[in-house]
Amino acid sequence: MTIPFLRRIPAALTLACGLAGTAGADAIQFKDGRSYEVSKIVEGEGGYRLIYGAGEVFVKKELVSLVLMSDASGNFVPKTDEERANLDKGLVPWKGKWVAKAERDKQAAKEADEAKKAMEEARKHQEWRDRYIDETAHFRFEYTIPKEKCKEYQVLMETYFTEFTKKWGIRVDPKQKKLLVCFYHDQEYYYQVSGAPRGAIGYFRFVEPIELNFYYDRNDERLTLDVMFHETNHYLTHLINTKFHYPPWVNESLAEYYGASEWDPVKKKMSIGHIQEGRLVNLIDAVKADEMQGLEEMIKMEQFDALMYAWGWSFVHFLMEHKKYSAPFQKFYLALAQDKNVSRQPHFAEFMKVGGDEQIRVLKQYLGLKDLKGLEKEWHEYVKGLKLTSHRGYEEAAQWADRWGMKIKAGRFYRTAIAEGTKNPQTFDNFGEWLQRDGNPAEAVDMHRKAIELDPMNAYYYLHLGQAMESAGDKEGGEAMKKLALELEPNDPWLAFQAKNTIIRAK
Amino acid sequence: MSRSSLSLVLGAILVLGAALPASAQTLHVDKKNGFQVVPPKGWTKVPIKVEERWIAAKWLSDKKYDDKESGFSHQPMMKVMIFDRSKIQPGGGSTDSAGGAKEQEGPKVGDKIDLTAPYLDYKDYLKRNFNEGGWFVSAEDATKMGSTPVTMIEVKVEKLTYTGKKRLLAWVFTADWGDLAIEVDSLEQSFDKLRPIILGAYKTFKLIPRDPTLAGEDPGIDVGGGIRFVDPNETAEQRKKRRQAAEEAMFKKAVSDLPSEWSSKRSANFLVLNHANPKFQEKVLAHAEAVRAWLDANFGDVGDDYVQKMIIRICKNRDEEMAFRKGSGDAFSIDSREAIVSENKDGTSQFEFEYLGQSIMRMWFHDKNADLYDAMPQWLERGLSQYIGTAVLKGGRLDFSPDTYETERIREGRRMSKFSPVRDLFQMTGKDLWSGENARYLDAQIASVFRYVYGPGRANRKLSTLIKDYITQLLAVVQENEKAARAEVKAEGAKTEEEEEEEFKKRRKQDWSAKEKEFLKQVSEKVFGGWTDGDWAGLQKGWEAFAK
Repeated sequence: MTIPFLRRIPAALTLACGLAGTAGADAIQFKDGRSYEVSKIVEGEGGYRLIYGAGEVFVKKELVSLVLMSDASGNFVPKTDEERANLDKGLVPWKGKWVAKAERDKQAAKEADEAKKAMEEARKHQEWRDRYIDETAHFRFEYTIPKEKCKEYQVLMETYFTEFTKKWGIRVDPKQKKLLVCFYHDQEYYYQVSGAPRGAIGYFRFVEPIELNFYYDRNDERLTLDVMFHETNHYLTHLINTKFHYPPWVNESLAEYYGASEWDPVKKKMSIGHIQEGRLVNLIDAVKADEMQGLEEMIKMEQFDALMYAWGWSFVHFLMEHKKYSAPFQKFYLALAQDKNVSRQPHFAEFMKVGGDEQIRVLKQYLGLKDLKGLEKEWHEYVKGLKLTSHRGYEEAAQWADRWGMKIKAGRFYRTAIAEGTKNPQTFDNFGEWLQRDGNPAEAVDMHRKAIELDPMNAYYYLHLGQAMESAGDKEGGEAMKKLALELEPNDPWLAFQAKNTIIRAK
Repeated sequence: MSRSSLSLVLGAILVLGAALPASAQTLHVDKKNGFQVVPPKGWTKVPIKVEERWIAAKWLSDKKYDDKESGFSHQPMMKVMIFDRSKIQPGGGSTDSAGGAKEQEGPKVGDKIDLTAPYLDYKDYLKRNFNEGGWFVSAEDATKMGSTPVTMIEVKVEKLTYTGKKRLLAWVFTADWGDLAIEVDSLEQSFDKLRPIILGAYKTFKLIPRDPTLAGEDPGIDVGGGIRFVDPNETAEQRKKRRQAAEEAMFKKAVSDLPSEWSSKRSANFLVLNHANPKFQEKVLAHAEAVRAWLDANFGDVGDDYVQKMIIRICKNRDEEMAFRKGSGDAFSIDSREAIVSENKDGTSQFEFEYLGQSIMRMWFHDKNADLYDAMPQWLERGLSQYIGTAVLKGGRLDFSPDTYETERIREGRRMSKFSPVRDLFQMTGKDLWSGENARYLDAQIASVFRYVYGPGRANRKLSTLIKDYITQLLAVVQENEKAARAEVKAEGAKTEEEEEEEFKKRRKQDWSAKEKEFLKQVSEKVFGGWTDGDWAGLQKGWEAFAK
């Protein structure tokens, strides 16, 4: 199925089809695949007004892939003599032309029918049992996201496969099965179908059945790309030696290095070596507290937590971007799994590993070093010189500073993230809440409105807008927004609690 | 199963359903929830948790099925779940004292803000409860049985399921007041064998009128998440009344929900619900009362609070225990005091007694003195729980000899010099104890030191009251710290980013581990301030001799 183009039903039109007058028949589908039934949808300037009992939700056209309006007004009001004359002749406006009313009704009914079918088809494919299945040269994709979105990732992952195997000199066994890639339309469905534990936002399963699972984050596509680059890297390095288990500081850290890759969908080119800003925020935290990570200690670790992902990434980034160390490090990486002179030991099942001391010996050998102290110092200096560069880093840094009570710094980082052009609605919402706490509800209202513009179906954004409006003195408007939030999300007790509408029971 | 085969199955039912009389011998009639069903022959009824609000009944298969792929075996379970439409709004069913819902207006003592998100329907229940692997609805069909709308749902569990791929088959019956879902889980490999058994039971499922008089009074059990407003100045006597009311409600509901094959018995401090051999029940009960008596005798004066009586549920085996434990995610209560054990014929019963003793101990300290329970250092909690957990009742008295595991760890630890000086042990944080490679030896050492202190060490005047002295001083430090915290004037707050960073650095240095260390140091100074190097050497020497 192809995702239908945006079907705009002219406002000056009454559909004489079966949809007309049916309560709850209006529906809207977003480009990310979400769809909602609404009692009434009306086309407005630059978008659609979704009419709810407690108020309206405005959705910009650029977010929408499909809309069904059962009650678009056919009461066209003529403004000129010419329009009046055409109406007198029994003509009505239709796609920039004047056509007979019966013809217009027939065309409109046909389009509405097609749109309804397309929407039902798209909804159906969000069920795993009706998932799409496609194959490319090296992957088998099973997915519930819109087909066109997945196509972008198919091209990207094939490019990644080709470039990585070439750069790292990996010869792929011709008998190697295509990797199963399971790609879900949202986080909740990913957790449900993939069985991943909470907190694991993607996984590569390296024992049979080998497969890769991740989801599409509609508010943060950069995160989706990051996870895809990271998890696919595990697969690509798995191809070096399918019976070898890399230690975490190498395995996770190279995956993080590739996780920051960028993709140009027009030129169909990927670039590597970018800053993993989310990780850098963790390092800034540690550096400020003078808690530098020892290199040998890190190499010997068998488990990696979030902070270690950050240290590991920075070390691999340092090596990969260093003129002197880059090539030898890549050789070292391959040697761990392939060099006959490296001592390996049984790990689990049929997998082998290399012990910490042996890793250090081989690293020193390949980098031409007598000990790692100097390297550790260089690495630490390198980390201290790394800077946040994009809105993504600043928004994460803002949240981090907010968590640690550094209010002034958090405010500056939020403003920088916005100035750098973030399109993440959560950042606007977070900053709005920060402004509320800072006693600036008027600006908070603007931020929450911006969050809503980017993600108009998030009930919490209306709740926060309502709270800010009330603080700014607009009690009535604020109350209306909170009621709208409750109407959008009627079954969320936390939302209900915050909207001050929670039922209390006496013991 | 494909959609077409689901339809075929239903076709058969529509023909057979009307003709099948309910089997009188095992017909389960639930007038309170409005359904009746004949469970598969030989399947055992499993009790429902006291805190459960969604599962109305469950039965465990009499057979285990092996999964050739994973190596695990599985015992299917059938359950009936109720989704009353009147409860699907947040806080639904909750009322104020006048019996009606109300908007929040300044909560009062006794109020509860209900933050539970009720399950909307069967699929929502699965989404938020099923945790045995990745799953999806593989087939779904809507039809009618008589005049009752039925949705047949088949679920496949395929990804990251370490105990074998599974299939769930559920039929959701829609009543005018809500949904009733009947579900069986099966290994994928054994599904075809089980299908006739499952469908045989489903055919007998029938909606009957609900009898509202059977719902009885709301037992008043505080279930699920939320915020409860408690009087900060509540006295021990008021707390006692509150706990006794909760205890009564729990006991009453536990007994009324008990399957007919189970028995119940009350003792001084426990309600025992039993499905095991009566002799095993008596052994469990005697052990529980002995542990409780030991705690009362040794620590009865560490707090004024009432220690709530407990439920001890004895399942006939581990499988039944596992089936009982499988409940809804919100089936919990802060008022619950229940320990679940099972009679096992594989020689693991000692672990059941260990778990029982430790559960009693933790709940006892929790009730007796909440401040103490919250502040208890890990070495103290672990030492006591091992000491009590491994106790064996012999001739009416608890014998506190070490178990085989501890004896072996002590032997190994001594040979490999893995122990810490006893003096250091008393100041170790959780991180000090458990993060290093010597953790299991230190764990055994703590238990052994407790055995010495409560055993031959009692002859030494300082050691004879050591644990009690430690607890007394610990409580004194908790109170002093609280007083100091209340008196502390809050800093005005940073004015610049530089000031913020300075404050941040200070906070980082005062993380939990550092605070824990400081707290242990404070208590140790009070307890051991008067100890000489000779006293420590005596303790060290005495313990080493004891542990040989």
